[in-house]
Amino acid sequence: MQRTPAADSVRIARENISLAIQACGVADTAHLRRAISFLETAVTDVRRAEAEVLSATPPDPAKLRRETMLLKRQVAIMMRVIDGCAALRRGLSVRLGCTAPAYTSQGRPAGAPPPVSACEMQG
Amino acid sequence: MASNLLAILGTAGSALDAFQQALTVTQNNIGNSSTPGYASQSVNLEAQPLDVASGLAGGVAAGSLINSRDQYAEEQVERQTQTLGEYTAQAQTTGTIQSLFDASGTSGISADLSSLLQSFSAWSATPSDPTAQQSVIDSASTVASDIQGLASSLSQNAQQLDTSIASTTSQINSIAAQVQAYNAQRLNETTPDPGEDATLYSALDNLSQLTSFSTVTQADGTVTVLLGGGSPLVIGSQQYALSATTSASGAEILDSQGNDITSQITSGQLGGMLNTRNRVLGSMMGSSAQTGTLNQFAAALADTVNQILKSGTVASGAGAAAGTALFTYNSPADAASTLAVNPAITAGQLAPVDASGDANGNANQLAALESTPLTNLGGMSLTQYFGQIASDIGAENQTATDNQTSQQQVVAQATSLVNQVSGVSLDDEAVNVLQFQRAYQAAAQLVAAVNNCLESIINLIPVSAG
Repeated sequence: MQRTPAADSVRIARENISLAIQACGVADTAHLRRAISFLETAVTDVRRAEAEVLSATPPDPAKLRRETMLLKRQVAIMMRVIDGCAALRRGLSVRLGCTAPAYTSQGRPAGAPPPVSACEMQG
Repeated sequence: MASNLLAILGTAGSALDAFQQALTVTQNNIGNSSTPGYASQSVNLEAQPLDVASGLAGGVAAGSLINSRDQYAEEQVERQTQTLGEYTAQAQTTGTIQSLFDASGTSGISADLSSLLQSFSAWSATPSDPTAQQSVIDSASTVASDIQGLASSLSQNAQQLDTSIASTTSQINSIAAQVQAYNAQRLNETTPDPGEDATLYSALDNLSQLTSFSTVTQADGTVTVLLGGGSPLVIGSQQYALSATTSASGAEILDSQGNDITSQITSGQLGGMLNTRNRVLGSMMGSSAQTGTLNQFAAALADTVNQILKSGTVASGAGAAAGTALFTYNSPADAASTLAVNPAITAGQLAPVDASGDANGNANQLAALESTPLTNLGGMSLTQYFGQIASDIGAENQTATDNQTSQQQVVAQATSLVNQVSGVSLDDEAVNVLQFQRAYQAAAQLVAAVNNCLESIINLIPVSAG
């Protein structure tokens, strides 16, 4: 089986995260499922890149570093989108009186539901 | 019997009236389905008391109009749009400034500086060669001219931003006038007109792109609009107009009393433009509070080169003429815009000999400026310092562009939320909210997994790379 260079896998992961960001712009479950599917593929891509780097020194380390930094930037954008959208929903859940799960931006459950003011995303 | 018949006819009549009103409202909803700011209405059908003995025949009557607008969702759209407006303006304005700098260093001031340092180096090899001397003066002239050109371009950018800030302020006043007109109309009505309600919310949507504000609906139905810091824009039927002006510290926004409320405008396009004008451009061009990095660079270049040249002599031996300054500028506050080659200097007046008598000591010192840390530049060399100015504006633009990208999605989500929440069962929506929150949690975990994996890859890449 032909091996994919790590830099290419990282680039593909970046494209998948970009698609996930676009899918998050519509507030319906179908789009959100698509976003999650893109993210799952991105996880597979970066894991493949990690395995490739572990198995051999990358042929073009500078390219890999550049691609990695671009992906890191895209991940930061994705984190902001998720945080922003989740904050909107969390605010709505407080308004509707239901207890939505609260979690950190790393996806870990938070100790307690946030206060109302925390639902307002800061720019 | 007759009274019962009349009661039944009365019930039927009031039911017909109620359904007629409901039909009118439905027609109104259909007719306004694409009206900006319109929220669908429904009629609250109220049960009438039923007591046959006392002639109350029951049935339904049309009650108050129910507006499907959800205040939370509307506020979120406004808030997120304000932030998007800020990032969009920042991305556009910093993008324009960034284009004035060459990130590759192959043209513009970076390349000019490199040429000047090379001409010093060539001159140090042949200090008395007139061609090498003239080359130093020509290179210095190019650097000075390009620094002046950059200062001029930044100044034009500042003027364009001042014009845009004034224009945006006028737009804000114009929208505030629409809200004020709504309030004046509302004070004469008992129930809000759906069309006027739509106009109001459309106006507030537009306002949210321009500035940070909050609204309070008063008991009389009027809407009070306050700027981010609490300064009133509209209270009842009174409008408080803003104005824009410029001072030594940059662009300023004044309230109707003439007070400076610039610091209250933190988001929206106006907030973004003020940020670029006063913080980003101010830090480069200088203001009443700071010299400006470009002025510091220009002054450090001129002072350092002049100091070295003036400390030496044009030739070895006693009686040789002292060196002359190569650059001139008016004052540290406008060094970049006034930097020029000393009009009185000639090629023969360049002083290659240092104070100790070394025949090319000064020329060598000047050639070494590329890597010499300068105290007046915080320990950075001239090349490093200018590179830092260029990379700072690049970083500003990148951050603004990334923020704009993510915020566009959040605004789309908030707008989608408004449509979703309007006119649906809150119980259904509560279930929906839980589903979404769990999905976002899953997404956050996946992104965290990508991030962790990335950190691992970064640590595995050989350090010598790129």
